[in-house]
Amino acid sequence: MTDILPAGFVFHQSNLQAFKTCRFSFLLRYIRKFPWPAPLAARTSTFEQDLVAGSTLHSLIHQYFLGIDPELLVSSAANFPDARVSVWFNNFLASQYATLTSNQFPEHSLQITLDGSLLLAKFDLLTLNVDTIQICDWKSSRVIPKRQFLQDRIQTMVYSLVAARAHPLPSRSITMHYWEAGFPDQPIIFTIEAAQLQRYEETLTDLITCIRSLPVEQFERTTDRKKCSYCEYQSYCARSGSTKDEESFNNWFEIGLSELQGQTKEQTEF
Amino acid sequence: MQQQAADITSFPHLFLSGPASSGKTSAALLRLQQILSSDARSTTLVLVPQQSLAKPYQDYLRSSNLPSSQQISIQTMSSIVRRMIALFWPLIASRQVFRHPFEPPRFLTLETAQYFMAQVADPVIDRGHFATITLTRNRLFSQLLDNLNKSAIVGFPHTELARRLKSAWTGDQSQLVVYDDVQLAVNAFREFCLEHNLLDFSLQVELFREIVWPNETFQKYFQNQYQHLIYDNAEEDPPYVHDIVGSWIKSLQTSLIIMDEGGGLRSFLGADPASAAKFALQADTCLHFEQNYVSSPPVVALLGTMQSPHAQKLPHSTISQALIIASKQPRFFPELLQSVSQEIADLVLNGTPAEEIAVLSPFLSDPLVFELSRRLSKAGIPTQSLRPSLALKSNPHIQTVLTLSSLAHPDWQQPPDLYQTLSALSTAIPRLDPLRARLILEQATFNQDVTLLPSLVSLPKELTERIPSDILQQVEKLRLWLDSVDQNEPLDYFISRLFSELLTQPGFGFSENQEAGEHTARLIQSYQKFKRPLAADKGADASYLGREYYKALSQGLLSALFVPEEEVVGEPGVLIAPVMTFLMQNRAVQHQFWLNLGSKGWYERLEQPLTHPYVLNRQWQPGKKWTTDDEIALGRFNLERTLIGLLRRCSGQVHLCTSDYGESGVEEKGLLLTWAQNLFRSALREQEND
Ligand code: SF4
Repeated sequence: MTDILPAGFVFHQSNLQAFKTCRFSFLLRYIRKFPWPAPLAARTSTFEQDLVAGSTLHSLIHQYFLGIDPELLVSSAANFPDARVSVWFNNFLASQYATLTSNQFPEHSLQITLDGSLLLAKFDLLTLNVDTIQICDWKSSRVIPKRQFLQDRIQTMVYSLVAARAHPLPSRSITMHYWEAGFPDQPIIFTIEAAQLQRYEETLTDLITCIRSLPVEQFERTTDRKKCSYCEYQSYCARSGSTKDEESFNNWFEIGLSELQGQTKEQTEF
Repeated sequence: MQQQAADITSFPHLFLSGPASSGKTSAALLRLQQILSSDARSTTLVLVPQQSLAKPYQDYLRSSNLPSSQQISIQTMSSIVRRMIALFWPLIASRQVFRHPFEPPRFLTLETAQYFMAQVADPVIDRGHFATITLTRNRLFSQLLDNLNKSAIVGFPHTELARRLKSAWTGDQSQLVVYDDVQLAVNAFREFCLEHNLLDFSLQVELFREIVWPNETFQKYFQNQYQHLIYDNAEEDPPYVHDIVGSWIKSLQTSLIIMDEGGGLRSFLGADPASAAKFALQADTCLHFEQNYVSSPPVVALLGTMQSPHAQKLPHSTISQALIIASKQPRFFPELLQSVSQEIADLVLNGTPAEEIAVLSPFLSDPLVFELSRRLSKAGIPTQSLRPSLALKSNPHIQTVLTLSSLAHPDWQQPPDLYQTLSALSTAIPRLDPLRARLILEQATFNQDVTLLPSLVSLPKELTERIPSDILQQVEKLRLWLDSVDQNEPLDYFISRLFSELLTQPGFGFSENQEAGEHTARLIQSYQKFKRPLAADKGADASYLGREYYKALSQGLLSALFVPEEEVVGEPGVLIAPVMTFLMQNRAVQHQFWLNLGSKGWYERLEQPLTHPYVLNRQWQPGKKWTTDDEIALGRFNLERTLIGLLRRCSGQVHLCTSDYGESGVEEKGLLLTWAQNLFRSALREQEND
């Protein structure tokens, strides 16, 4: 074990995804916390706008579940400069996900210990039923992602595993719902059974063990230059101008969104 | 006693007071542990007045590796206020306080509030108001904002500011007009904020207190969030925080309120120990810690005589064990620094860890930090300085980027001057020395301003012969790059490209320079925060935003922008810090070196002609006058509190360091120096009499 992680390091979907994408980016961003000028112009012109719109939609849905009068929220959405937000929020209100029950936990954090390491998930909405745990994740993609892409995401593994382990009831199954605000009638739903959960646990444990065992020099730069196309450390790694790629875009968008919402911050705020 | 304080079953609502270093925070950590082990599903809010005071809790959280560490949330009230306003904004919208209630809120930082205050107050000043005030505009704006903040955190309408300030004034009558001007400006600013959905700190506090906190939906949410509260250093918070916590305590399962008796160090920022002391009335149990776990016996003895005037006088031998003075006082300050460095080196050589030494002064100047760090690092001793951040624009990398930005944006009409461009050019192209850079720039300088870089072909032959051609090519590359800039490109995008496409390329000054990258990232972040509240305005295009940002920085409006409040420079080692910063760290060291003993900065408050932290205070009696006697008494009180605070954080000795001429080059004879001299003289006299 060469563990270079600081005491109390918390793993979450963003940093694990970053490690999978590029070990070096994990080292710079989450261990060294090294600020570096991001290649803003290399990102799409709507990157920032999409981040703010996505984050606003999350806030509105959160406010809805807190019990704030929906009419006020509709007015707020209608006054938001990006018109998509209002459409998305109305889509949400018309969807099955807007049903209010007493067992819902919006913007809810849970943390478990996995083989001695801390693993955190912050859910957009967690619903605890007698026989199921339903996890909802709101998305605002321009293009609906492929089912396979979401199935293989670290997020799917982390969320279902943390929810299941934090609320252990053997007979409960987990359903993970990715709801796209722009495609409200096409939620992508995964039902995760015990065997699948076991596989997730093994995969995540292996991944964390691997991170903990690597000496610093093995946090290497990715060899797949496409992955650099939206990374903030492009100029640090002399990888500017790498060919753009959708997966890389999604990874950096998710990281940006979670930071904007403060999802992956430590439990300390000043 | 500590075990008692940790017992949540017997003492669910506890008020714990005591002086510094009496083990209060350690008791709180024990209590936290107990909460976690008995109630793993609950959440505890650890509330602190400022970030530095959260350190013991953060360390605990990091080291404990608790699976339930999500169940501890460490926050300040201002962070809670800001987040809750954002989350419950639709509730505020429904009250129609703002002109465009359903549009999103635009939160202001201290710096962006100053920027908008300038928009409102500049025309007021230009009309002849504040004519007798000699403050720089930035200080004037910050005092106006300070007034608004005081009204919010103390809890009175901002429209009463002038009346309150006038009622306590005893000096020249012309000052009364100034207070009217203050009222005019703050009223106009508040109106401006309501018109444009701008939320400065004062408005955030008012909205939270009056609309969010009493709301039922909010209360339901907030009560669910936390079941336990640990509120440390309550005396350093203003009364609005006490009001909120006071009305909340009984709905919590447990609460621990901790108060440092010698605290209230942030009074000038509205800290109110008298208000915090009222928590004792709400608690089920009050505990008082007396024991001093830190100070060495001679220091404890010295503290004893300071705190009880009738105590027996201390013998000279005890005083000189607690307070060390040099056998020979140096004449000038640099000599003093030399002897301080030598003393520190001796201590380290004899086994004192460098982290157990702190050099403290009321203010830290750049030369002081530089000189001490240089001398100590020469002796192989690491140093760490802790002081308010330097202005962004005084950082050479940032200065370079900004200067090149203004050259690339002629439509800003703010061309850099020759010296600024000279320094930027030699930072951007390290092989271009300032002398040659000057020769090039002189070809394109008008009235000391540089509007563009001269092209290679326009340079006279005798000049191009004196400069290596590869350097000239670099200058030309830079010029062409700057020339090709789209004036409508957002400034952050521009800086990001300038950084990656040019400055980090081989041969340019930021190449393989990590610090330059960090600083540039910080500048981009600063701009992004600046533009956030402005960008919603019609007509605020990229060119306008860039120009306003550059102007605000040049005018010093964004002086210490968006960087941590206090910048930590260096690795753990000998700490060099302002006294107040050290005290707010709440840590002890073996050896304290006190510099600038003769300075009045040890106890005098800053000159603030437009506001008054003690009059705009909940403890102030309406109708009372603030007199010279009050000012003198305050100075003595501040000094005593500071000395006691420092001594209680000293586990070894204090080194009193003084030279005939102080850092400012003049002889200074403030109260601290007089106190120290009297203490030694009278002890010597007693010794001689014996
Ligand atoms: S630029 Fe590429 S190699 Fe460098 S950290 Fe980013 S993803 Fe990794």
